[in-house]
Amino acid sequence: MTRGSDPGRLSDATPQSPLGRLLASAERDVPSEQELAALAGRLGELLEPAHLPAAATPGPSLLVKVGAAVGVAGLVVGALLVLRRPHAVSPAPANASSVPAAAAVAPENVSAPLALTSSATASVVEAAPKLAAPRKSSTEPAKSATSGAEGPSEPALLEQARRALASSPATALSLTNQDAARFPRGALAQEREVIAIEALRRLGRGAEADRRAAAFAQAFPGSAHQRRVEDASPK
Amino acid sequence: MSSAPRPTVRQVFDEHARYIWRTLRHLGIPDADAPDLCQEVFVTVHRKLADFEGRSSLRTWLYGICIRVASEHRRRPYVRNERPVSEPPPESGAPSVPGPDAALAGRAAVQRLLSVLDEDKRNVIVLYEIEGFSMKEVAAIVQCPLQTAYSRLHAGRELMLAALNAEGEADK
Repeated sequence: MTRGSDPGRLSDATPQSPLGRLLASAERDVPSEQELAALAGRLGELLEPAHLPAAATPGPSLLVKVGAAVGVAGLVVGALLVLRRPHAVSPAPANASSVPAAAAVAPENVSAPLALTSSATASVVEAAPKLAAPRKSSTEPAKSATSGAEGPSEPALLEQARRALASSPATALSLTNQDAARFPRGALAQEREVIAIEALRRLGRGAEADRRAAAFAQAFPGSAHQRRVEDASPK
Repeated sequence: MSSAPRPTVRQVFDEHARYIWRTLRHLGIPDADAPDLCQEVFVTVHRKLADFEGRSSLRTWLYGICIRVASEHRRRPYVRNERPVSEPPPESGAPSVPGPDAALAGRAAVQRLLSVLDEDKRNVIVLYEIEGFSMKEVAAIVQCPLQTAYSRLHAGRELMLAALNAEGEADK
C-alpha cells in the first residue's frame, strides 16, 4: 500500500489521539468464524468449484435430468391432488417437505421445468398452512445447498414475509414456512423465527407463538432479536 | 490482459470475506443485513470475476463492488424508512452507556462517529483510515478525482473529531 504524499493515518499517529484509537480498534471489528462459516454456507454453490457457471461446465448428467423430470412430474401430480382436495388442510408433512427436496436437484439450465417447479412448490406450501417449523432430516443439508437456485433467495423470501406482516400475517407465516422448508439451515433462521412469532401473535395464535418464542430463546440465547421477540409477547 | 492467474471465488472469499464484511458494517450496513450484503458482493464477484482484467488490484476492484452494493442498499426504500432495532437512534441522548464489554462499546462509538458523515466522506474515511488504502486507490475505488478524495478525508476527520468532542462535553 503506497503512501506517497498521503497524510498520516490517525490510527498510526503517536501518541494516538482518542479518534485514532477508535479507528485502530475498528480494524478488529471482523465477523466471527461462525458468521463467516454461515456466509460460506449460503454461498455454497458459488464457492464450490464443481458448480462453476454453466458455460464453463458440462451440462447435467442424464441421471440428473431424469431425476429432475421425475421430481417435476411428482410436483405437478402433488399440486393437482392438493388442489382437488380443498378441505385437505394439512397434507402429510413428509410430502410437503419432499417437494422442495425434489425441486432442489433440478439443474440450473432446465429453465422451464424450474419455473413450474417453483410455482408448484408455492401452491403446495400455501395449501399447507400447518407446515411445521424448521424440520430436521438427513436430506436437508443437501437441499439447503442447492435450493436457492429455483426461487427467491432466503433474504428475498424473508423480506417478502416481513413486508406482509402488517397487512397479511397469514401470508407472512406461510412465507416463513416456505423459507424453513427451502433453507432449513439458512443463515437467517433467527430472522425467520422472529417474523413467524410475530405473525402468529397477529393471527391470535398466542399459545403457538409462546412455544416458538420459548424455543427461540433456547436456540439463540443472547440473540439481538430477543428483545423483539419479547416485545411481541403479551405483557 | 494480465497474465497473473485469476483467483477462484473461493480464494477471494477466503482472503477477503472478513474485510468485506467489516467494511460493509463500517459503511453503515446494520449487523442484521451484513450477511445479505456480503452475499450480494460475492454474487457480483462470481458474475464478474471472469471479466476482471487486472487493471486495478483485485482488492481495489472488490472494494469498488462493496461500495456500490452498500450504496444501492441504502437507497432501497424499505432501508431508508427503517431503523434497525438493535442500534440506538442517532438522536438518542444516551449513547455513552458502556456496552457489555469494551470492544462492543468501542465498536458502537466508531459506528456513531462514522454515522455523522455523509456517504462520500464515510467511504473515504473507511477506505483510508480503516482499510489502509492509499489515497490514490481510494480515489479510484470511489471514482472521484484525487483532490476531491483529499477534501473528503479532511472534512470527514474534522466532522468526526467535532462529534467526538461533543460527546465528551455531553458526558461531563
